[in-house]
Amino acid sequence: MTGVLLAVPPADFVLHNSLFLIAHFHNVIIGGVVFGTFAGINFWWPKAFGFKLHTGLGKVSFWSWVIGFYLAFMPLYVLGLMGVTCRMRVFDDPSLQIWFIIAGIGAALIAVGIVAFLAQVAYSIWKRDELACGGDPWDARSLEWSTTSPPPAYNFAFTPVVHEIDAWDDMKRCGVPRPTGNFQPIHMPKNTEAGIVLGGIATVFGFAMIWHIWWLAGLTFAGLIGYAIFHTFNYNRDYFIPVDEVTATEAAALGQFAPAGA
Amino acid sequence: MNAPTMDTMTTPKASPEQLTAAFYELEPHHHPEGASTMLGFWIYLMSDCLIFAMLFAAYGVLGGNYAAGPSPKDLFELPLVAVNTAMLLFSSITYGFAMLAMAKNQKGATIGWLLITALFGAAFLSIELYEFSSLIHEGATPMRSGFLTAFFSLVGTHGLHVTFGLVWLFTLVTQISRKGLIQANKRRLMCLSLFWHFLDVIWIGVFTFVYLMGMLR
Repeated sequence: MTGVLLAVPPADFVLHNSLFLIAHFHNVIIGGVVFGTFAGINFWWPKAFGFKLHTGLGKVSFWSWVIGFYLAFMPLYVLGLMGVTCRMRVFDDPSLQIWFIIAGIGAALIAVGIVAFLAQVAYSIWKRDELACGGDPWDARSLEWSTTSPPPAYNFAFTPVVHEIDAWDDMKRCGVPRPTGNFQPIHMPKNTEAGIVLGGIATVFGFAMIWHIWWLAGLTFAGLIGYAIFHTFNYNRDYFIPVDEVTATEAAALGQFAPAGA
Repeated sequence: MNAPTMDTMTTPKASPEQLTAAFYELEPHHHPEGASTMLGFWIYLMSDCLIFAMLFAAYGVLGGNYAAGPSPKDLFELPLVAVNTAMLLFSSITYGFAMLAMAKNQKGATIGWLLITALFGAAFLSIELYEFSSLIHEGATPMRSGFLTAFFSLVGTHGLHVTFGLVWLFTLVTQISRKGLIQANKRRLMCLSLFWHFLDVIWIGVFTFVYLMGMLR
C-alpha cells in the first residue's frame, strides 16, 4: 500500500530518497519476492532432489526472517516520515535514535535467518539419507507430486488426463491405480548446449556494448549469428527412450507410492 | 472430503483398469515433428509486427517535424523508390515460385528460385543503401530532424530485416543442397516464406505511408 502512497506526486516529492522509500522497497521485495522464493525452495526441494529440507532449521529461519523483517523495516517508515534521507552514515537527532536501534536488532535477526537457511540446506544435504522422501511427501494436490522425486527424464510414462484443478488430489480420492505395464517408447528432445553458448556470447556482447569495446562487440555479434547458423545444421535433435528403460523406471517408481494412491 | 467427481466413480462398479484408463492417456497419440513450429512462427511475426507498428506510430507523430530542415518532397525520388518496390515485389513472386517447386519436390528449381529471390532482395538493399548514402551526403542525417530520425528508424529496421532474411536464405540454400528437400527443410522454407512475404507487406505500408503520402504533405 505504501506504493500507492508513493504514486501520489505531493507525497512522492517529500518522501523521495528518504528511508520511507527504503522501507517500501524492502517491504515489496522481501515480502513479495524473497519470502515467496523461500516458500518455493522448501516446497519443491524434495521434488527436485528426493529429500526434504530439515524442518527445525527451516522454522528458525522462518521466524527469524519474519520477525527480523518487521523489526528492521517498519521503523524505517517512521524515520522516513521524520525526514531521514537514505545513505547517511550518521543522523544527529537523539530523539530518533531508538528507531535506528530497533532496526539494527531487526537486521541482526535477519542475519540469523540467513545463516539458519544456509545451515538448513547444508545440514539437509549432509543428512539426505535420513530426510529422503517418496514422490508425494506433502500429500499434495497438483500433478508434479504424482511422479517420483526426482522425476524421471520423461516426467510421465503416460500423460495424465486432468478432470479437476487439483488433478493429483482427484486421482488419490478416486484411488486411481498407476499404470504398471504396456509402456511405450517415449519421444524426447535431445539436450543441446546452444542456449548456454548463445547466452554466454550474448553476455560478453552486452558487456562490450556497455563499455564501448567495439572490436569485442563486433566479434561477439558475428559469433552470435555464426553460432546460431551453425546450430541449425544439427538436424539430429530427438531420440526415443526405449520401452525397457521406461518399464524399469516405472517399476522402481512404484516403491515411492506404496501403497498405491495412499 | 468432497465426493469423487469422476463419472467412473458415480457408476458403482468402476474397475481399477477403467480408472487408470480414465486418468491416463494409455494410447499415445503421435505429435509429428515440428507440428507446432508454424504457430510459434506466427506468434513471432505478430510480435515483429508490433515493432513496426511502434515505428509507424513514431513516424506518424514525428513525420512532420522538419526542424527547418528538408521535407519528404525535397528528399524523396519516387522513380527510385518505385524501382525499389518492384524489386521487393518481384522477390516475393519468385519466392512463391520456389515454394511451388518445393511442393513438387524439385530440389534444383527450388534452389534456383531462391537464388533469384536473393538477387532481387540484394538489389532492393543496394538501392536502399544508395538512397540512404545520398540522403546523408545531402546532410539529411538521422540527427537532422525528428522526421529523419523516424524515417531512418522505420526504413532502416525494415532493411535490417531484409538483410537477415538474406542470411537466412543463403543458410537454407546450403542446407537444401546438402540434405535435400527433407521435412525439416520444408518447414524452414515455410517459415522463411512467411517472413519474406511479411516484409513485403510491411514495405507496402512504408511505401504508402512514408513515400507516397510524404509527397502529398
